[in-house]
Amino acid sequence: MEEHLPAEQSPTEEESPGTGCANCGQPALEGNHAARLCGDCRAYFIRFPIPLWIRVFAGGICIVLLFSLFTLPKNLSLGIHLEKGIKAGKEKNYFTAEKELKSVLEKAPDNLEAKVHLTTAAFYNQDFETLMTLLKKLSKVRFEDQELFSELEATADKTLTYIPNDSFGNFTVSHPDLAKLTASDWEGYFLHNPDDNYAAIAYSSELYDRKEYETADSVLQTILKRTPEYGTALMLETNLKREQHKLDEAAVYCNRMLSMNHELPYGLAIQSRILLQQKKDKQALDLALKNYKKFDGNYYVVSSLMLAYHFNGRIPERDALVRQLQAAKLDSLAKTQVQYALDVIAQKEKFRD
Amino acid sequence: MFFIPGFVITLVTFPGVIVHELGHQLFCRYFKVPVFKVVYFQMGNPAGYVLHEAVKNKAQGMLISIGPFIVNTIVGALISLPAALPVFKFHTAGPLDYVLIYLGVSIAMHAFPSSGDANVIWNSIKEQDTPRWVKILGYPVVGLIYLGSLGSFFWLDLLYGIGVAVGLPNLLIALLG
Repeated sequence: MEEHLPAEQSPTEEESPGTGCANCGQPALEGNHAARLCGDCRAYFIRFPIPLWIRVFAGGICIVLLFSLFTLPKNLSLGIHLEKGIKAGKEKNYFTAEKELKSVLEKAPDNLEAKVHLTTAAFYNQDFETLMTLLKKLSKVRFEDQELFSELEATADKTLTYIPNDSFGNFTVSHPDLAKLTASDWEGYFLHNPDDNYAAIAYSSELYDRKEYETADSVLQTILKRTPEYGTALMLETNLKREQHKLDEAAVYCNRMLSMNHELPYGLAIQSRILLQQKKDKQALDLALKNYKKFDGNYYVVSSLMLAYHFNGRIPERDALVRQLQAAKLDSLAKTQVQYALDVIAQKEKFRD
Repeated sequence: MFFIPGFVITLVTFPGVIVHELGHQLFCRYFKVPVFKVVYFQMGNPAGYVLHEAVKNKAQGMLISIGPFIVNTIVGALISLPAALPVFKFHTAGPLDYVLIYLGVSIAMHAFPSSGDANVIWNSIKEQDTPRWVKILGYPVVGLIYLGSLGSFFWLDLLYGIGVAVGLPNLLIALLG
């Protein structure tokens, strides 16, 4: 609180009443002010001393502050990564979101907010290893933030539809070779489990492998009517339409996949392949190059770029990628993906009309 | 409403009282207004005060009265800055962080000018020689200070303190992110 005292009540006036300086009695006063003070006394009271204990107190605070400032850049950086991760998630750029949130958890492994948002990003990135690890850890956590809990619950519910349930587990035990099952075997299962998306995908995959595209399409349409955003169904439909040379429809399903995750590497790679099949080679190459800059570790993306170079007549760049891939250590899925592209280049596989 | 006696709150948050009075004193020093006495903290009402010469320039007088709002807010925000994220966002805080948060929130809590400060502004703007623009600014400022005092019954000052402590790092993250 502050108080200003009229001149006649100022402490100095009480000590030294009269016409001179109220503090020291000097006759020469400075200026026309409320308090009668000479120049020196005015200067002294303007710079009224701050006591030593206050300075020591402030010094102590400064020392504590200095120690803490060492961690400020790290914490600000973490905060920025968390903010970027959450923002990327809201914009459905889940690849970026996963990258940012993982960097937060490296330094702050117990951060609940990062874990929950990472769970969502991992789901949409089809990173099931990260997803299942997090869901297992988070199942033991007690949530105070209702919004976070709701997000986690929604992701967990969606994840359950991508995992075989007990019924399907029992079905595969009694029918170990799904390839040998007949339509009536499957119909018998779906009679009792009409909403089992995982089983329906397994069935439609079998039909796809047998090139029974119409029936596979029908099964996938049933899934998508039930769950319009079922990623695996959208992916299968995209590939199915490509096989049927219905490229415009393939593009529609591919775009639906990408609308759920703008940074799905597989979706972006398929998009460039569809463009190649539509003979929009320049567009396909531009997209494939853009994808490669972001996902150069994804072999489906790399082999899509290889195809784009090939159909654009960029043979040296294509061959450089071929050499790079042949030198790389590939798992079985990557080997299959790369081999297909090599077969297309060698004209052993027909890619487009 | 959770009621704690005022003197207990003041005692617990005494750093804020000290910085509040320091705020008045520093603004007096800046405007070259002589200060005759400063009580940085006492167990009583008011918890602290600054005695200075009556200020001729009414605008400067108003700034001296609301100086703590500026000083306490800035000092509270800066002191809390390195600690707010570990305490409120990442839950990785150490003992030093909690000390800084306590200091930062205590200081920012006492940013509101007191009703005594409001009285000083009120008496000053009532005078005939006060410029009109100072009156136009002064009346709402006095009103806000009284509202702030009332709000303290509902922990508005504590909410403000926490808001300041958390606000600056979040603002930095939003700008840099």
